Amino acid sequence: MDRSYQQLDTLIHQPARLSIMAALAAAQEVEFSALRDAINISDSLLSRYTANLEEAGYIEVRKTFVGKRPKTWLAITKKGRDAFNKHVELLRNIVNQDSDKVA
Amino acid sequence: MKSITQEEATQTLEKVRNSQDEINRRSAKDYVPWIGWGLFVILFWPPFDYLNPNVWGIITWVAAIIGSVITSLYFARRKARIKSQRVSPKLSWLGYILWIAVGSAFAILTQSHFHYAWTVAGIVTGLPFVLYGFVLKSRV
Repeated sequence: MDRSYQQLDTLIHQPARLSIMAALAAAQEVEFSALRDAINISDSLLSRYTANLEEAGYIEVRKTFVGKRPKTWLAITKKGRDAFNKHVELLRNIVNQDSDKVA
Repeated sequence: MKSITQEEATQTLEKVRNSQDEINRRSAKDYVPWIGWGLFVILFWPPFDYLNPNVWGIITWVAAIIGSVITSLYFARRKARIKSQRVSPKLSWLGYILWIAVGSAFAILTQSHFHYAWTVAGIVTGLPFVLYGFVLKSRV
């Protein structure tokens, strides 16, 4: 099996972006600060990475207001979910293939 | 060409799992109100067989109102930050109310003939909710 990085989606494979995708895949919608706390990342990095993922069409960003306070909601798109599932499947194949060899 | 090792793949999958676990841990647990309200029926109905129903009825109503407020606050607080994928459809709560109505009607109609009417009705009515709650919990 070709295990080169070329097969993997490099946009998702970056650790922080992968955590963002994984977290969003587990929920319908996550508020910015909740995501920041869940994956333990700074506001600025989270903003940058979510912008990358939004640009790729993997996530959607929705802005709302609670009183005068702005709230940012993030959700994974169908394209993002498909890419994430494919990525995880590929990683599982790598793990399982090596396990089969050992067995 | 750079390649990915099995160890790296395993660690990456572990990271995925951790992120998802963290989100699940912080989101509203759908099973909590099912178990809570099931236990409420099991615990609050049987005393009607042994205590003054007028007094116990007031206590039950107060407890139900407090429980409703706690349930609403629980979901409102958690949903304010994470909207979970695993939320029982609102229709299932209609089923809950109808089942409660059937259970209490059974107890009211049989209490004059059968001393343990509220005890039996409480267990038969509440147990399915508790079990359903545990089924939901096992899926998390």
